[in-house]
Amino acid sequence: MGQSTDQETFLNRIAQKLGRERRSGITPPEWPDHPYQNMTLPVTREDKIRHFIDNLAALDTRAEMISENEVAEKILDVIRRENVRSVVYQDDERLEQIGLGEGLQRAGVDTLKWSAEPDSKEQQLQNVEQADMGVTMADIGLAETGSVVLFNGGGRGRVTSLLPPIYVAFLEADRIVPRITQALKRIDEMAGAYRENGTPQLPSCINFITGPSRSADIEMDLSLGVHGPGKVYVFILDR
Amino acid sequence: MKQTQTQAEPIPFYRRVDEALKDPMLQKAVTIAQDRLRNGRIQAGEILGNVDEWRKRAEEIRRHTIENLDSYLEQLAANVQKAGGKVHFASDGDEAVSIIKTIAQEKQARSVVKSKSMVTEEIGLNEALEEMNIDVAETDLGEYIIQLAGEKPSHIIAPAIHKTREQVAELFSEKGKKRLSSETPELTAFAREQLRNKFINADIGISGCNFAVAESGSVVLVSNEGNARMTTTLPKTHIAVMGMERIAPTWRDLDVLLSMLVRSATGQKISVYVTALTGPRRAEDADGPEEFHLVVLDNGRSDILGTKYQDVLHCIRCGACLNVCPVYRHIGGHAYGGVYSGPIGAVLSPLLDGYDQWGELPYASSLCGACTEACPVRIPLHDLLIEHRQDMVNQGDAPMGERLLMKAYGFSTSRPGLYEKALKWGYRAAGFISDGDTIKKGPGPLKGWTDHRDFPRPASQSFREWWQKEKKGDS
Ligand code: SF4
Repeated sequence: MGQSTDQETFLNRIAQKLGRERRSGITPPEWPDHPYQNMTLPVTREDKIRHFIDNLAALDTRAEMISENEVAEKILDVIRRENVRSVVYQDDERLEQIGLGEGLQRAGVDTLKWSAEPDSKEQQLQNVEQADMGVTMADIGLAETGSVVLFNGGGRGRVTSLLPPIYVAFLEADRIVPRITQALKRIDEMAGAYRENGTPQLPSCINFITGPSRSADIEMDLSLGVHGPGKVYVFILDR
Repeated sequence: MKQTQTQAEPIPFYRRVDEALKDPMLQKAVTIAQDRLRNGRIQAGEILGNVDEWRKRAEEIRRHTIENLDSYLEQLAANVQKAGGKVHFASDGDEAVSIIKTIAQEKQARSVVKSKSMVTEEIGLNEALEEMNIDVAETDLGEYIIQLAGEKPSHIIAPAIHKTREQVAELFSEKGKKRLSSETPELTAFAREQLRNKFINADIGISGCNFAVAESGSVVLVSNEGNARMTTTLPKTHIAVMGMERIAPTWRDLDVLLSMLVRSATGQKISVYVTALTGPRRAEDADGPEEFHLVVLDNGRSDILGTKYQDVLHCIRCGACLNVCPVYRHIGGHAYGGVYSGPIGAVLSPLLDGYDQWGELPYASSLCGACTEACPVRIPLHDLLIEHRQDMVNQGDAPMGERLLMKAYGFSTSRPGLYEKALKWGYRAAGFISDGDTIKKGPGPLKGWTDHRDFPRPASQSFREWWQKEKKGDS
């Protein structure tokens, strides 16, 4: 494959330039403390939720606490407000459980469940691309930044939160953690399990999404939705 | 071939600077961008509160990683393979290009989409693929603009800051064969539409790599627009190209590095998207690329290991040093001539390609030290610039005037103490404020230090005056 350099030659050169024997299997240091320990971060459930909502508001993004039986009504609101005609959503049981399908049916929009079924992916992708709105569950929320974390894999595909111009995420309130530290710690533990038993524990893709797609590449002037969704709604499920 | 520098006919450094100084548009644009990004970083630092502790930890992590780079690269490679990806090691740019060309041939690729990657600029990848008649589309809005203009990035983070909206409208109108206004939404919508088609139809997506997490074999990409997600999701093959130093040992380490990268780059607390990719899609996945390749590039980096310049490999490419540099402010990124501009470029380019090509760059600095103070991983940038000057003097490469100065001011001997002081003043980009042409000295505790430090350019001089003298080497 091309004229690549053999791995050992490449690594030995590094060792030689560092002026020592080749190293292998180094254990990363356990740092005694963490700089974020001095940050003022929300602790209570209420504070975490409030920070999450406020931080998204600062990015012109609406996050709202709702109860489970409001799902249909809230999704209808967004559909009306944004003039949505077609919706793509992830193949995720949790979305069914909260009654998304029913809500969409009531709204009378075209729907597509983006699933791992292989039939005519190309055609399906065109449909996702054409859809006005994408809907997913989120796995973790970060209070400090207003981020939603998605473990993409299986039916929980990547494109639903990426291609349509509007993106809606549902997030259980109890899944909001103070900051990225706790989310990465969880991923770290998953990676640790991976090391021990050899089967991949991390999904092929993990996304942290914080508000709408933005660019400031033209004279530092902010514009939204250059590639990803330009509008984002997050519904926090109070359960 | 190492760094592929892009001018067919290299323009001498002094000419590039003179040209930049004659361009008022450029200076306006650079000033606005610099101020915006710098202020953002300072505010983000204030929110963290104890930013110096973060910087220290970030530095410790980077130092540990580079000192054990062979071990972590080995672990990374093993984990990428376990997750179903392929790893390729490339000693130089030629090798990296050849590896990628071979993959492109195998896939019979006709089109490639790219998300912003300095390292592929470094190896001249676009040109090589275009020679194979492959359509290459840069998809970061800034990169797209400069690709249409046939130019190179002038800033690590904001590659097209030297372009005005009118110039962008001109480029897009020509491309779309219809007259576009210079309003941002219209221009953005045009780029979105053009690039959507490219994403959907591309055979291969090529990305850089902000960090590769060794413990899981994951490539982490940071983007605001979402083009990195598109590039790594839609095409059937994804190739990530990484400089060999860009490793985070664990996800816990990534916490600190990511927090510092984004805050230092744009002042955001987190970028809109942070995407971690571990191998290609799995059999049960609804989407994602079927193949994943990771190209690990040396290209002169290993020669820096074990030298007094080793710390430069700690760089996380945040661009903060550019945003505080008074020289960058006046001459912009292109005057540096290489892929990497600003203080980091002035330190790195001579290391990657030698003094013959980049010997002037270490002189494109007033040694004010603002870069060192801004750097989130505490690379002593201006000390390394002095080291470069000293090395050139020792090799007999430096201009006569400079050689005398180095002696007279005894820079190398005064170095450690000054560096400690710089650290103590912390992260604030205190004091090096440029008002138009005159670069003021730092107020407060920096005063004494700068009086001594910026000897080639007393405060009363304008940048132009200083530059004229510096050029002649007769300060
Ligand atoms: S040298 Fe430091 S400040 Fe400059 S780009 Fe690298 S990490 Fe950022």
